[in-house]
Amino acid sequence: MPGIDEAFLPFQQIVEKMVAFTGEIYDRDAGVRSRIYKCVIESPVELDVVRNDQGALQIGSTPPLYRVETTFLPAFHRMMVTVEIPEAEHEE
Amino acid sequence: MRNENTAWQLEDFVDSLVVELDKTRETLAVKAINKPLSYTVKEMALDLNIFPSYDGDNVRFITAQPGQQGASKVSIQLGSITDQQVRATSKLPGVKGDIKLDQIKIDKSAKKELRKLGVNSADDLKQIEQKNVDLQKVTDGDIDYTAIANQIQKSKRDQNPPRLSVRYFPSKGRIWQWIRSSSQWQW
Repeated sequence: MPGIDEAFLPFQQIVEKMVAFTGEIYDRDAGVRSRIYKCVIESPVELDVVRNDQGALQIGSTPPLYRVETTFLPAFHRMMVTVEIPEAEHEE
Repeated sequence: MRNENTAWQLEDFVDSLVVELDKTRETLAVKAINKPLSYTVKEMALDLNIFPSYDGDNVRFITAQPGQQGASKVSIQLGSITDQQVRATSKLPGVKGDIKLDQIKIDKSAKKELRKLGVNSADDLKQIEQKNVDLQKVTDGDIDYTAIANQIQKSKRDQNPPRLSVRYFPSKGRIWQWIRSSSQWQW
């Protein structure tokens, strides 16, 4: 039975990698510290949807793999993820 | 790159998506232990280019392959809801003694008709009955509810069949049976 194509990552990992940023902007000289408390990421994605040995659907995903214009283009789907720091934490 | 996209039902796809997002939330929750200002996924949306097909029973989708034109679009939006909202909008799964439609031997078309109405178990039917809804009218009399009621009773009996113990009391010269369902000795 096929698994997700090796060029693709499980959907979970794509989202985790997208939100792996610090979100803190600090300028010691100006004495300013800012926090990004909410971020909306919208991106075209390619999907690979397959069933594993247990019959469960696996969703593989990747941002566009190639930037070169070819005779036919991959099918791009669109993903939007909204991430935020929980309210109680960014109000501290 | 391999192109073996599988056809799927929307329910399967959303289930897999939710599982993936749950894993993401767990990972981010662990990360937040040492790094308090970590992000959580609040909302998620996917616009999918798909080709639908209907086999007479189910609608299935397959994601568009490279170069394919004229695909339809399905938009899925997942938002965060609170524990309270989950409790208010969800039915408790696995109510004790409940019988799933799959466990009842009834006509396939009747099962399909009931599922359309959100009935997946004997308990769902009971809830509708308690609200005095006449399912016979809603389904244009296509379903034999007497047969379903009989099958539900049969399944309940199969789950908890009466057990017999037999004793012989020489003094009384009779055979006594312990009937579990009535919890008494009878002869």
